[in-house]
Amino acid sequence: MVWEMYLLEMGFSASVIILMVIICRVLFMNRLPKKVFLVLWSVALLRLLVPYSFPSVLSIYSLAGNNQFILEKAEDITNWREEKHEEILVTEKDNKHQAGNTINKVLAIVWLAGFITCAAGFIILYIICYKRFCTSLPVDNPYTQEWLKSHKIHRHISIRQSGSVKSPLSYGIIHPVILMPEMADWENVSKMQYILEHEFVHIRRFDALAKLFFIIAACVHWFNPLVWIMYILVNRDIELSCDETVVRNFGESSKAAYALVLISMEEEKSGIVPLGSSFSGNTAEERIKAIMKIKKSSKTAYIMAFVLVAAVVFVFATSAESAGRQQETGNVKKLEKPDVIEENNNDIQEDTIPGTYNTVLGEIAAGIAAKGDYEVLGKIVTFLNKEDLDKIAKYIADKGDYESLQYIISFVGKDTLEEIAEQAKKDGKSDELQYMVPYM
Amino acid sequence: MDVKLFDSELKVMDVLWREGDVTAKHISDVLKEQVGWNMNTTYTLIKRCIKKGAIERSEPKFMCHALIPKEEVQEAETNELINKIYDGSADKLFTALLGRKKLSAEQIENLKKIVGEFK
Repeated sequence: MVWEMYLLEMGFSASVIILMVIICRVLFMNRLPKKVFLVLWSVALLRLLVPYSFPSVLSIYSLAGNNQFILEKAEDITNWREEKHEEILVTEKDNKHQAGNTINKVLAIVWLAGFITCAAGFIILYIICYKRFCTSLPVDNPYTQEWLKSHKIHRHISIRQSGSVKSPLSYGIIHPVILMPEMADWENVSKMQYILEHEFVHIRRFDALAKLFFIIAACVHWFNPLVWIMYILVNRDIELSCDETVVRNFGESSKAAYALVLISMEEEKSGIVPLGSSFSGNTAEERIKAIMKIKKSSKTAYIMAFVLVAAVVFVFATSAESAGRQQETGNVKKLEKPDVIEENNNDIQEDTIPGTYNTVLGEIAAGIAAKGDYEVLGKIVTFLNKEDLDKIAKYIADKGDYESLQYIISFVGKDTLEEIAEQAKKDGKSDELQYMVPYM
Repeated sequence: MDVKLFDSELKVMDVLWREGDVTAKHISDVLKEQVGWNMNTTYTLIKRCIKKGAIERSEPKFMCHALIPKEEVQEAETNELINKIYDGSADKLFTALLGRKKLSAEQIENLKKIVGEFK
């Protein structure tokens, strides 16, 4: 159950980030250095692959306690699941519990199937490329020797040629290879230098490795269309940023020459090389336009870029932080059980229940419970992390509001139920717990 | 043998033309040294050549024998070059070769001798 939470949470906040980046891209594409967009995409990527996020008061999710939108979405999902409930023939009572588990298992299998399909697709593409590239021949002429000497990096670069590629490309993370088509004209030095420089920038920046991570993210979040949109845009932005770097290296006056080289290569399109970066292809038109628009970035542009990245990171990539917390790391999921559940009976705040919650949703649910909105709480209860749910249940019981527990009772853990029952007996309110009996 | 040989396959044939009949393993070792191909790649290419009728395999030890001589391939390629690029005229190719101005004195002497032999 827990991994589902992570997936949905990460996917949700990453989707928001992706939307933000898409908007930024439309607005600022030619006014900011392209590297900025790569940084922004990396933020989205981290959010997709890393389950931690640090809490911040600036976070948009700090407002989430009052956020109707999330509740509506949760309601939609719950309704869908209730329909699914009917499809699985259930009888009352404790089958509700099991149905929840069955649904989780079904979802898990569906996700796994999707993941394996996507991963398999990429692996097949990789194998096809590998087969095409393995019969390439090394290129050894004075020009390449000279070029390799002047472009030394820690890893060894090979330049090879093959009849199977129509457009120059580069691949390989540990042993990078620049692969040229058979008809490459090594005499045409001015053209060659741009081509090689372009591939060199890709190699130096470990673009192949970055693409690998984005592929992994797309496979894990295969059900999220925004992540695929991100995948497409990231590949384009990597090319654009590479073009920008090449023009910067050669000087702004080389823009036209570089664009002409690109146009002349455009006729020969290459195939799909997911982990490699090809010279032409990749919507060459967008690239040519972008190249001609490259200009020296002013200081304002850099400042704007910095502010933009900081804003996106702090507002969208962080998680909620609500007031009145006892412990600092509010939403960072601890791998070991949380040490002490701090129940601060003297100091109960109005807006939230004290204690640490493992998830963003737990936070939101706590806020809802504190307000007494139990009906709504009941609608999102199936998504809650078990520990969070138990905490909330205990809190409600402590308030003496045993009747309201019925909204969430079927998902509360047995131990917690027994504790609550004990508590109720002491308070002399066992009658109110009649409905609880079938769940114990 | 009618099917054209690719560059990569010619590299395999080259080993056989230079060294005569050798084992597939030997070819793969030579090519690993020369062009950096791994064993699988070379073996795949050898099998492709066998399919095209350029190599004959004999056991023991996967011995390879070149079925077509180098000269035959050279002639085929030259003809193709003449037909495709030099409008079917060998003279044009010849003129082009001379016009490259890269011929050393020695080469020019050799050419004169060859022309003499054809008289």
